[in-house]
Amino acid sequence: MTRTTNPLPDAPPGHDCSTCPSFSHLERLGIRLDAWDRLVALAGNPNTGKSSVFNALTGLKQHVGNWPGKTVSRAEGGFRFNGTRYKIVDLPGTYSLLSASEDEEISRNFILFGKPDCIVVVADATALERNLNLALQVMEITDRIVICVNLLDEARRKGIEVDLRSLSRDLGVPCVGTVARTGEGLPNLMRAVSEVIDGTAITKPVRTHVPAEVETALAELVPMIEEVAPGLPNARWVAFRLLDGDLRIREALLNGDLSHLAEDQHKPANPAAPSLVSIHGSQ
Amino acid sequence: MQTAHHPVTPEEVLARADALRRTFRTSFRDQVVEGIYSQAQTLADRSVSRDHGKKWDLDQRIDRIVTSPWWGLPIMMALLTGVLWVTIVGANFFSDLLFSALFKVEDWGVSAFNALSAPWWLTGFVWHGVYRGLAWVVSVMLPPMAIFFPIFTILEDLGYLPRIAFNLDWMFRKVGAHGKQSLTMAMGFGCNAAGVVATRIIDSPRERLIAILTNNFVPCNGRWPTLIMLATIFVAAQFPPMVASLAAAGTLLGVVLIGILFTFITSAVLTRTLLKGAASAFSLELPPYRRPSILRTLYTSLIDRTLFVLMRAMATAAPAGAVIWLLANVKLGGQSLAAWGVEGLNPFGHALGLDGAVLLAYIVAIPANEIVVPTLMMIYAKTGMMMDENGYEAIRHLLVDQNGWTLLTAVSLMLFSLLHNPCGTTILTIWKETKSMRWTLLGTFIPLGIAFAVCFAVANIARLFGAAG
Amino acid sequence: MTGYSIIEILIALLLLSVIAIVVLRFVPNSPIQRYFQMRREKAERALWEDVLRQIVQMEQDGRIVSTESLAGTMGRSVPELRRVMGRMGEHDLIVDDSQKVRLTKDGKRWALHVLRAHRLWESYLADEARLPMSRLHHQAEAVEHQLSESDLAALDAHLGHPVEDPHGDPIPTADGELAHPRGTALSQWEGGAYVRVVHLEDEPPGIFNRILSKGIRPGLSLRLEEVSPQSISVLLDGSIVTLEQDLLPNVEVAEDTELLTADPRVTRLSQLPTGQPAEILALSDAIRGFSRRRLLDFGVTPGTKVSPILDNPFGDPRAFRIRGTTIGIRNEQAREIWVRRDAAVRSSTGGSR
Repeated sequence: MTRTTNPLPDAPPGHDCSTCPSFSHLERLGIRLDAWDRLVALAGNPNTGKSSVFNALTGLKQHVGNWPGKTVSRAEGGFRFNGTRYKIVDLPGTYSLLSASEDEEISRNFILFGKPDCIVVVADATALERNLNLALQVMEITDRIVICVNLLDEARRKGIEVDLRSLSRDLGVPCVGTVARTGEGLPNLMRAVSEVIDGTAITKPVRTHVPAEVETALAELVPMIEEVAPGLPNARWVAFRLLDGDLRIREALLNGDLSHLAEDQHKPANPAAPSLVSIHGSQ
Repeated sequence: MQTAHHPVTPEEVLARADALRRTFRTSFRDQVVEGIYSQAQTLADRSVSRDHGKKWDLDQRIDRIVTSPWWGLPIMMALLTGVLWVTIVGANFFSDLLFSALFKVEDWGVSAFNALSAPWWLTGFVWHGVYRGLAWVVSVMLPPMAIFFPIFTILEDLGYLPRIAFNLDWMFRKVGAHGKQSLTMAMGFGCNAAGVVATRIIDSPRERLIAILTNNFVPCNGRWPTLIMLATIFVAAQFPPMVASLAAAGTLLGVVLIGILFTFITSAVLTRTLLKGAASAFSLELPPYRRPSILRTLYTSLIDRTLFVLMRAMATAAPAGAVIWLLANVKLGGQSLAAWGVEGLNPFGHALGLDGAVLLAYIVAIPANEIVVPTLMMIYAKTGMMMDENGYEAIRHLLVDQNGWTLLTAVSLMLFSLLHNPCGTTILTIWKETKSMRWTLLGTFIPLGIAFAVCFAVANIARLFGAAG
Repeated sequence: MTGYSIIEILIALLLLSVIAIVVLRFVPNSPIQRYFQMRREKAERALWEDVLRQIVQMEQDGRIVSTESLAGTMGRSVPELRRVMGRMGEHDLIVDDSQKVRLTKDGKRWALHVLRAHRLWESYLADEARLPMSRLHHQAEAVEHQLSESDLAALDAHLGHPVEDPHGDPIPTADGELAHPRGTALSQWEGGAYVRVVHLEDEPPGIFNRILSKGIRPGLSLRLEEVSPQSISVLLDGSIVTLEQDLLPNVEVAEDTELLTADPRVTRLSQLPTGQPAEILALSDAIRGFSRRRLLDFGVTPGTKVSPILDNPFGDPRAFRIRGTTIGIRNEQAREIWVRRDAAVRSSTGGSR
């Protein structure tokens, strides 16, 4: 379950890594993608190199700006790894899932209702603390999660070292170090994603710490929610959102969307699931 | 705990959640975020080690200079001037090359058609109409775009733009707008439609509308070539060759500053009239600087952006060329339609310091008004005109010697091009983003009205002081 | 030519349509009449709702509600209100026993809905549209009659369930609970007290605007300096502000439990010199809505280390180092963030944490 970086020899900048031996299992599909086996979503703070990870995996060349809010819409692409076709969705960069701005709504709805098989949270190694804020929130929603600690090169330049083994242990989910721009660590990332999806890597995300009075309230609400929507994997998170008064979640509880989500949880992923359009439509 | 006798309904869950929320001493949100962050802090402390011996705050050192009270604004100006200067020098060179190459092709094409004894109207329509429209657009527009876009993209990738927003926020706040508006304006330098989409980063709806309605006042990539051409021909030509390109860059900087001035004036007026309110909160992350990958930048800015804008311009320029050719060749009462139009619009054009041909070109090019100048060239050049010189020299000859342009005409056209209504795509984008006919119309007619008013004022004041034109 | 000119025809058409409208106005059930009928009903309904909201507010302030006192506060004539309230009585909304006007159960529910609409909309205008405080009330009065229950639920959630409106008045909940205001009028406090402004009364507008012009806002911490029968002077951000006696009842304050202003090392983030590290103590109530959520997202939470690192060509906004990131914040927000300076090397006062 724990995973450490196995840094490749540093590739020179601009070096095309599709010829590296470690990428032999990767076939970049770009946007030529009519059917897929697995759905992966990329979430993360702005300016963490999310788009670089996306580009490196898909072979697409989405523009990488350096200002918060650069990715104003969602990008989609695909790649094939070890014979499995992955569809990957680059969600807008967000600092949290709590503020209910338009971007965050899109990301939140996709993570919850888009039924991704795995979420990759891209984190900036030079500002891990701020980035873990989002990671911890996503971990409340799903346990199919891989943390991609990106920009390791910047971190090294600044004399920052991240102990990925200890981070993985503390968080209870795989943490993989990468330098998306050079391709460093990406094979490890893809392996971690495939292991989380097929269950070889068991994740046990750490729960967020909250003050006692909130914990008491959660303890009361969670059993009620579990009774209304049996089998829901993230009843605790739903309770959070209800206490915060999230309209979309209230609605989902009333109209049975959450119960359906719980039922689908036990079905195998359906390649033709018509999920993407409906999420956007429900804005 | 509720009674366990009957199954819990969703409504009961909601009611209980609402009741529990009210029992919290302080805001639920505050408590939760504080909890998560302190956990994140603990986790990060456990796994992150810092090499304290290493002085790593290069970012902060750069930031201290580029946001400093003394150097912040001059550096911004210098960077902008530098980018403009490089663009002008490069564009001069490549435009000449393209121009002569493309018009040679026209000559060959005409000869080939003549050799095949094609009817005169077919030769005229295809080569002097459609092809010439394309050739003008490509030779005037491609070089500046292909230079400006990559340089600008590198600045963007470096992470300099948020610093601009940080430096200028105070000024935007004074007019009731948001500092992030400068980010959307920076995007507008590339394409106003992209600038309008980028306003999504502004959270306050009021400030976002201000940013949308004023984005047009930054000249987009489609309008740069016009401005560069006019600055080169009319201003730089007055200076010795050594400093000519600097003079042109200075002129462009002036144009950009006038555009920014109108952005502030319009924002201030909107804040006091249609969009009353005070400035909202500002909090913006200044991300660490990143080394841009030059190759990728070149690729994306050339393929995605430059070619995209160019294709669009060509898609409108070809039919516009055809329309112009028709106007010039369909006769009514012994005079071509174009001549009628130019004559009819002349008094109005003259009042604005322009002439009838400019307004006719503007009307023909409404779908993509960045091609106003190429369209204008076509109107002036009509059919069968010989082009002896290359590039800018040919244009100068056409405008000044054959059509009596003066400095006033050039200045008026620069102002008109800077201020007039957004292009069709941008108007459509405004509609998509605001979903309101009212704001779309305002976004179209506020700039147009300002353009008319400013040109009228400038022309009349200049003539009062004896300017020719 | 005996024909008419275009102008004459147009004038004739215009006259005809005016006549048609005037006639249709009095034809029963014609579209024109229905239009005017609808407008009348709307205006009547709005007046009912104003009366209801006024009654519930006066009850909360502990004032005696009568037709006369209502007419006074609302600026309406007594006969007009008597007529309106007669109709409202027929609809079982109020009971008027000539001594005192009371709300029935239905009336109270409706009144609280309107009050909730009014205060939520004021919150929206202040937090999101950023209208100046002095214009909130008037704008909200226009909109409060048009918001349905589900509109309010959406607005409430969008704003993050505010408990108080921008003036510090409690917002009724969806099921009609109305908390009691927390503060007491400034006139009842003594010199030397540390207090926090919890509520500003927005009527009458003249007094309200004078209070605002002194720089007083809900959420501000004050120290009462001199208390005299004519005025009270308070310490606000290092300068003394004098409030005349007629303003005092309209400024409600509560004891500043956090005693933020008492510790000499406690200051506002905006006043922290560049390079001086500090620890965040609290975000004041004046940072509301989206801007509060955004700051929280950046990790601006109590207990966080913060240090101003960048000035700016204009000195505003400044940038702060927070949790390994650089965040630019306007002084207007930074002044609502309380921090405690880290003990400087030269002053060995240490200090308790």
